Amino acid sequence: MAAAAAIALAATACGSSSGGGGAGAMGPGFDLASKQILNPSTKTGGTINLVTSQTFDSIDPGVTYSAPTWNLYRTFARTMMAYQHTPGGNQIVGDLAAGPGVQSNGGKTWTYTLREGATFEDGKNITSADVRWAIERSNWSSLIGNGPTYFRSILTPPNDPKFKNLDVYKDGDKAFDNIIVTTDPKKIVFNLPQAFGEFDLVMTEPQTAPVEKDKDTAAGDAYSKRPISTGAYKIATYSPGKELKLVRNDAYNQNSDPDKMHVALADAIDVQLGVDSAERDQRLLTGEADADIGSALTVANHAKVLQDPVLKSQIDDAPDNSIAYASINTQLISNLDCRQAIEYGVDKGTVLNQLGGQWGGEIAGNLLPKGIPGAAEFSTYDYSLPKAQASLAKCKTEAPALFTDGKLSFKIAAQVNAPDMQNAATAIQSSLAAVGIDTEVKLYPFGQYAQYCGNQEYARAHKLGMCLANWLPDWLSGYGMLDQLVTKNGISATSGQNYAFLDDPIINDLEKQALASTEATTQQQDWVKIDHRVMDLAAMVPLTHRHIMRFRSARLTNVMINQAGSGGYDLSVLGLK
Amino acid sequence: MTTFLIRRAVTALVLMLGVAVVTFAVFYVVPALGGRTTDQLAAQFAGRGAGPDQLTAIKHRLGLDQSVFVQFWDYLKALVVGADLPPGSGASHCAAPCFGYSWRLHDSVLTLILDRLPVTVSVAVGAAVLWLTLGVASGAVAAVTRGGLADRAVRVAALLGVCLPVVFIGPLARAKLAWLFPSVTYSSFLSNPLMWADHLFLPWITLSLGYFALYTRLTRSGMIDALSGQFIRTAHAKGLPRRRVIWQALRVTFPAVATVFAMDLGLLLGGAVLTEKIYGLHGIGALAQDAVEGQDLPVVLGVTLFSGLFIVVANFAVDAAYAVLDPRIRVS
Repeated sequence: MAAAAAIALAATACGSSSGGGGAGAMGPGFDLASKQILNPSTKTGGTINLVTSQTFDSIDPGVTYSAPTWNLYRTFARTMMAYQHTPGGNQIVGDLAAGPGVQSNGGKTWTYTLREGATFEDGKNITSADVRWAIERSNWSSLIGNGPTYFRSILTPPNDPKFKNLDVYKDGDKAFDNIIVTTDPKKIVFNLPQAFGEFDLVMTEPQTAPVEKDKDTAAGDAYSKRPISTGAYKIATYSPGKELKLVRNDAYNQNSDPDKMHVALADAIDVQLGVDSAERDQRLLTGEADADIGSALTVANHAKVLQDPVLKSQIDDAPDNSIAYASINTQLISNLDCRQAIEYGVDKGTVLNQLGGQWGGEIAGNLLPKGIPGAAEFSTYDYSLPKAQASLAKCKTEAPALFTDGKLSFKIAAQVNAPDMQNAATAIQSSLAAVGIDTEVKLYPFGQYAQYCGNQEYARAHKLGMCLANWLPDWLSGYGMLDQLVTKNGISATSGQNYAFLDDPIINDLEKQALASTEATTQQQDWVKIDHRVMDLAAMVPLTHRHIMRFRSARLTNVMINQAGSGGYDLSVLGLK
Repeated sequence: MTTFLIRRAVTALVLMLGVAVVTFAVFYVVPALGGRTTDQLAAQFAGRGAGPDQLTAIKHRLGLDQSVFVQFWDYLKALVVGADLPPGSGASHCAAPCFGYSWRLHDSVLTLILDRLPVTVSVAVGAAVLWLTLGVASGAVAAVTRGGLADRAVRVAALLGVCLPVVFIGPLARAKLAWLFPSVTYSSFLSNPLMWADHLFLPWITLSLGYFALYTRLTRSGMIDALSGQFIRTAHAKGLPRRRVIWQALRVTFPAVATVFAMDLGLLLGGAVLTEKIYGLHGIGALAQDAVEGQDLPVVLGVTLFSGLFIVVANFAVDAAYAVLDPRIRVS
C-alpha cells in the first residue's frame, strides 16, 4: 500500500442522520476501539454509510494496492489466510484455508488445505485451482503493474527465461504445474525455489482470493468492474471514482467459516469515494457518515472533537503501525560521524509537534513499531546538541570533502501535499542549523516522490541528503517493514523505496537468514538485529510511530481497530444498532 | 442562415482541434520537455517497487511507448472511429466517439463525463437561475432608485458577493448552515425534485454569490445608461406608464446580460471545480481535478474538450439569442 496512505471514509445517503447514531448520540468512549469490542451485537439490518477522500485504484482484489481497498475487499473477497477479528489484533488464522501452511523441504514447500463448503456468489464450489488462477493472473499477465508482486518474486524460478514475459491469459499456465500444485481440488501446494519463512503472511494478500477462470474473460477486464464475490457481501454497483455499493451475499456458506471471519450484519454497505477531506469530516461529525476506513480527521477538527464530550466519545487515536521517518542518503553523506551528527541533532520533540503533537503519534527511536511481533523499542540516539556538534567536528576532520565553505550542506525533501511533513522538515532544518548543518527544504509531488528520493543519480546531483516519508507495511512483520526501506531490494535505478541507498552486506545477509528460517522467534530476532544495525549505521532518523485520529458513529456495532482493518476499523464485522 | 450555421460549425471544429492540440501539448509534451520520462509517468501507475518489466507493460497499456504524434493521431482517430484497447486496460474496446480511456478509473472518459453530467448541470443551472433572477432584479431596482437606500443596499450586497470567494463562503456555509441543510448530496431531480433542491441549495448559494454581484452591476449600469437615453425621455413625454418605460430600459440591457450569461453557464457546465470539491459532489469539475492530481491524462483531455464544446455551443446560442432580444440586430 502506498506509504503515505491517507484515507477517509464515511458514508453518505440522503437523510442518513436519522439513523440515530451520529452527532448528538453518546459513543462508547474515547480511544477504546483498539482495546475492546465496542457495542457488541448480533443485530442485523440497515445500511452502513462509509466515505473516503481517496478513490479506489481497482476493486479487482488481484490488482488493488491502495489502503482503502485493502481494508474493504475483506468484505467481499476471501483470502487463504486472514487477520483475526480481535481488538488491536495482528494474529493471522486460516480463512479459506483450514489453517496455516504446513512447511516441508526446509521451508521450500508449503501446503494448504481448503475449507469444505466455500462457494462463489454464483454457488460454484471454490477449489484450489481457483486460488492458483487468482495468483497466476495477478502476477504473470497484462494485469501486472499496479498490484504487489510478492508471489512473482517468491515463486518465479531464478534465471528461467520462460517466465520473463509470460502472460497466462495468452500462453496458458502449464509452466506452474510443478510450482503451484492443485491436483487435489481441496489442497494447494507451493514449491518455492528458495525458502521464504513468511509465506503464511503473503497468503493474507487479496491476490489469494479465488477467481473463476471461465468467468475471468477478456484478459481480466470482466473482473475489473465486477469481481465475483467469495465473501459475505457482494458488489451491487460500482461507479469508479464515485460510489461502491455492497449488499449481502446470500450464497455465502457460514458453515465454511467456523471462525466467523465474515459476517454480514448490515444488509448493505455504501461507500462514497473521492469526497474532499473537509466535507468528509463534516459528514462524519453530523452523523451523515458512519466511519472512515483509514485516514485521520483533519487537524482543524481535532480541537472541536476533543472539547465536546459527545464527539470525544466517538473518536479513537490508535497507532496504525506506520512510521514517519527521515532517511539519510548514505551515498551522499558517506561518513558515519556526519550521519550521527544528524541523528543526535534532530530535536524530535519539535518534529512531533508538527506531526499532530500527542495525537499524531509517539517519538520513535527505532524503525520497527510495537505492533510487529517480536519488535523491541530502543533509542540509539537521544537528542543532544553537544554530541551532535562533537560528531560533526570529528566528521569534518575525517571527511573534509563533504563540507562546502566549511559547512555540511544538503537538501531535505518533503511531499507537496503533506503540510505536516513539510513543517516537520522545517523543524529538522532548524534543529540542524543549531548544530551548524546548512539545509534547504525542497518539495516534491506525492505521486512522483520515489522518482526523486529513490533515484540515486538525481539524489546525488541535487544533494538530496534527507527525505521525509511515511511507511505502512503491507503486513506486520520485519520483512513488511524493512525489506523495501533498508535492504538492497529497495534500491532500483529510477524509483526505489530505499531512500538511504543503504546496501549493507550484514543487513542483506541477516534478511536472507530471517527469510530462510522456519522458526518465528529466530526470524523476529533477525529483524530486530537489522533494526539495530540500521541505527548503528545512522541511515534513518525514525521520527514518530504514528497515531491516527478516527471518528465512528455511535450507531455502529462490533467496532474494533486491528490489522484486519489495515490498522483502521475492521469493516468485515461491523453492524448497526 | 445555412451558410451562417456551416461557417460557425467549421469555426467550432477548428477551435476544438486547437483546444485538443494545446491541452495535449500541455500535459503530454511540456512535462517531457521539463525532463519527465515516460518511465516516470508509468511509475505513477505502478505499485511500489515495480520492476522494469512492469513499467514496460504499463507504458504499452497507456500507449506511452509510441511517439507523441502517434498518440495524438490515435486520440483523434478514436474520436471518430473508436479504439481497441490493449489487454489490462479494463475493457477491450472504446466505442466512438472515444474521448479516451481513463488510466486510473478504468472506464471510458465519455461514460465518466456523462455519468457526472447531471450533477454539474444541476449545480450550474440551479445557481444560474438564482443569480440571473436575483442579479437582474436587484440591478434594475438599484438603477431605478439610483442614489437611494435600495441602490446603496444592493451595491453593498454586490460588493460582498465579489469579496467572498467560493473557497471562503463554501466551507463557512457548510459548517454554519448544517442545521438548516444537513445533507449536501446529489439525488435525481426526476425521483424527488424537492430533495434535489434541498440537497443542492448550499452549493447554489455558494456558487451564485459571485455571479450575483456581477449581474447586479451589469444590469444596473446598463439600465442607468438606457434610462438616460432619448427614447426613454420620448416614452415619458408621450405618457407611457412608468412600469412600461422601465421594462423598455431593462430590455435594452438584455443582450449584454445574455451574452455574459451564456458564456458563464457554458463555462460552468464544464465543471464548477471548487464548489463540487468543497461539497463532495461528483461532477465534471471534481472529475477534472482528480484527473489532474492523479495525472489521468485522457480524462484531463476529455473533460477539456467537452468543456470546450459547451463554450462553443454557448457562443452559438448567444448569436442566436441576439436576434431575438434586440430587434435592431434582426433588422441589420
